[in-house]
Amino acid sequence: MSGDLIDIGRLALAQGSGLPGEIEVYVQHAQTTSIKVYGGEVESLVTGEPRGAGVRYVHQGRIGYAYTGDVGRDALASAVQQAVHNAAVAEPDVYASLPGAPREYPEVGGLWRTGLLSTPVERKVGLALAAEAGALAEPEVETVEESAYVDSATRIAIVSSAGVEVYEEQTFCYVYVSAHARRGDDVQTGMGFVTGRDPDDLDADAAGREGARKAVRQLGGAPCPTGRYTVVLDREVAASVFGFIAQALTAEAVQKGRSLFAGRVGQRVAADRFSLWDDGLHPDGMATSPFDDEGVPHQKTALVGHGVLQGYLHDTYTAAKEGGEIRSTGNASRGSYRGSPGVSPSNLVVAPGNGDLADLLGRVGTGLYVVSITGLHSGANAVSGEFSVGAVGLLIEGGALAAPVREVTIASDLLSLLQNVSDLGADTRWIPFGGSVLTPSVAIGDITVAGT
Amino acid sequence: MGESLPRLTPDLASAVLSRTLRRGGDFAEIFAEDRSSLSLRLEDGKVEEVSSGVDLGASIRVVKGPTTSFGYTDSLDEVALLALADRLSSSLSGAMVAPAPYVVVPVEAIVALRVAPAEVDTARKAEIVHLVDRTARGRSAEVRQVGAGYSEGLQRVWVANSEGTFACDERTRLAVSINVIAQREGLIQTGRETVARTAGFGLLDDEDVIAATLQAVDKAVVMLGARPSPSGRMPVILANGFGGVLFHEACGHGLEADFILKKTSIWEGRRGQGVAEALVTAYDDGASPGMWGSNAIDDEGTVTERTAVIEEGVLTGYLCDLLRGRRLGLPSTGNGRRQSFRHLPYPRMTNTYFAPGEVRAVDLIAGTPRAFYAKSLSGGQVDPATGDFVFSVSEGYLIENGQVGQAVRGATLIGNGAEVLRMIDAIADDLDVKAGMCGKEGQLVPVGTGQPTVRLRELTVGGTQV
Repeated sequence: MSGDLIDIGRLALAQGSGLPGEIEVYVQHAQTTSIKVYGGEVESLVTGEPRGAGVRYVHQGRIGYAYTGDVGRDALASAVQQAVHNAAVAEPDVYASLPGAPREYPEVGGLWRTGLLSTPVERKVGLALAAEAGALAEPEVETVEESAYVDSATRIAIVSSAGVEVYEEQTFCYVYVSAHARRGDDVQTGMGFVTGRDPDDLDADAAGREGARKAVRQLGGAPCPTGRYTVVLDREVAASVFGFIAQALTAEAVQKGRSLFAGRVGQRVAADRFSLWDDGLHPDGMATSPFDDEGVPHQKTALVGHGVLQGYLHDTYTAAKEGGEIRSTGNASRGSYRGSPGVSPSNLVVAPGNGDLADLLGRVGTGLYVVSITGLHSGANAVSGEFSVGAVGLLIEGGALAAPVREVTIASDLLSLLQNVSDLGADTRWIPFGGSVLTPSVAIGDITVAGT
Repeated sequence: MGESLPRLTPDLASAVLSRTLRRGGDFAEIFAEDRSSLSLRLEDGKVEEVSSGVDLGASIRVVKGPTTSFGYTDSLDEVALLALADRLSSSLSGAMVAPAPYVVVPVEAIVALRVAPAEVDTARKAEIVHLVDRTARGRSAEVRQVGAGYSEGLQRVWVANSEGTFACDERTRLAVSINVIAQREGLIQTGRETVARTAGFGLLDDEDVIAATLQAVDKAVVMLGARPSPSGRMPVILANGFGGVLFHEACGHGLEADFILKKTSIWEGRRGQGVAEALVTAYDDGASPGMWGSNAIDDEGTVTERTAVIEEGVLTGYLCDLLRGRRLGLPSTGNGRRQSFRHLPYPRMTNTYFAPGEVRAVDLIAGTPRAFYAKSLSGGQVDPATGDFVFSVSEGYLIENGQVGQAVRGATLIGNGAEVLRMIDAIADDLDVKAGMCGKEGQLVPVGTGQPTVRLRELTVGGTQV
């Protein structure tokens, strides 16, 4: 398979031979399965093989991009032509360039598991059904709105006239459940999930029970009194908050004047106990691979060390613009072959503190445990740092979880939030939604909660 | 680019549907798409990137009992389509079913396509993003960064199903996005606007782009002088246009038939009941020319329509696609939509809005002693099961003694869909519908969200000031 994708890349490159600029071809081929069950029956079974190629052309600092879902010779030739045409309209930027071949790539094992493609579809359906059954086993769970098994086997090749020629493949699968619990007129939802690289990794029943437990414990929720609280962010919430903050830690955001962290390298931006890094080579991460989306080796990059800002995430372009000793940190990223790369985190890792969630709640004593937030992307301003989001959770009283809370908002600004990190658990979990983040539960002091 | 335009013919569709149903099935459908896209992005005063591409392919779905099987291929080639049909039918084990003969769905173009975007030079499109940049920087010295995007898409679709539908449609969409960052000392604020049309290039006026750019700049600059928002329960006035996100999030999603069918919507079983005061009438309107969420047909080949979902306070309709409508015993309302041929259709909103009232917005405000005024909302989220929602206010003010006063920042509106409908006590006459992208089931589709200026008796405002 590696040969096929590399060959497509070379074929595209050949269509542009003789052109004055540099060409990069990104080729993607995936096999995907998505199964949803409802009421013990298969609701939908979706299979597909999305594939395509993206061509980036750079000439005299002008960048043009074009993509095609058809990877035959004519379509590739047309995409190259279109990329050249598009580059002519873009305006020159002296820092625009393609990366050359690195001396070597790091070894990352275990990303591809053959079991994913050889597992029969009936077994995958069985996982989705097991998750649904796991949720329905819980008293007060009325329906499982959605129980799904999703997998993908993705292959990527990058070939460029600047010397890059790489291939990688990986498998990934997950089961998720959205459970609805009812008590009288009160309905609450809860989500559970498990992830892996092979269907055999997935404990579907556990995902179902997690969703059910989360739904049931919110029954009877009501707004809590308005005030300033110590909040403990559940790991899913912490992952989305730190993922959001990391957007402002890309050199792209800094160079464009869109980051509240601009000019603060070496300064204290967070509590001493807080450390955050990016690690594209972590063996368990969903974003792990030997190289980024322009073929630069992945690495581990410190972002915040004991509260002090260490640096930013770079791709080839932002590193060139920064100049000096700065090199790409291997953080070029694209959603698919349809898009040219931008800068974004790979796997984000938050340094753990001590103990499990119960220990952390015990140390916090009184506060609000936040289990989900809504409106982060519309309600938080990554430029100014201000945010105000809807929250659902449980009160913390006497060092333990107490009454459920809903229909409140929590508000602060991102810098205050980082500086007010007052404690962390050691209960780290990989969260795969909207990125890939490994984080424990995190306590943050002095947050405004608006309720009644 | 190509002279011979690929397309799905009725004969090929018929052959594919017959193959799909050769081992049985209650319903089969083929959806084919040919889409070309172009986007330009400006930042730092420069067109940094120009990107274009082609998506071409088809999907087939076959429904048998409760189960939908779906697959797609990046090709409109007969061999690839028949192979896909074989793969999908292999999971079935019944007797062959013959598809019904076609009745071609008559489609009237709902767009006056004066100039196809493809006929306009890319350099002219680059001028538009430069116009945004110049206009924004000329408006205020506090503007620090301007991001401008131009995007166009031409989507041609063909849909055929085993019940005799054959339809095709050609959709042209243009959008200019404006993102302004303003700075005063250590403070930074952003302003965003979009000009979006379901139309040809000729309908995109420089005047519209300039007006939207000025609004984005003014929003960012005003917010630089804003104070932290208060928190608590208070009367709220939602300005026209963007305020329509409220209906979309708080009510519209719960009216989508898949949530009704699974009984995970607060509106399930409430058709015919009073849900708001008699002054409230609301529509989903997929047929209105030029609106961002309009199409002549939906992605199942059903002709779009204006559906009254609330009439004089009474819940009157749900938003249905073919599959969910059938299971509810209701006809499709033309709301079966999908992001692309790689996606299954779901019941989705098109353009939603409250019908205008008779009072002028200025009079409505003047008649309100004290309120939170949400001039612009940047988005929101809702849990359809509970109706709980959150909106973020990107431009907010306090109304005191009937006058719009101090700007406030960092506010969210939080509440419940059923509750908020009952809270509407005044609707002005200034209907305006804005463009947006709505996400559901991992799929984005263009939608219009709009309303006239609306007053709510009381809502929770979340801010940073206790």
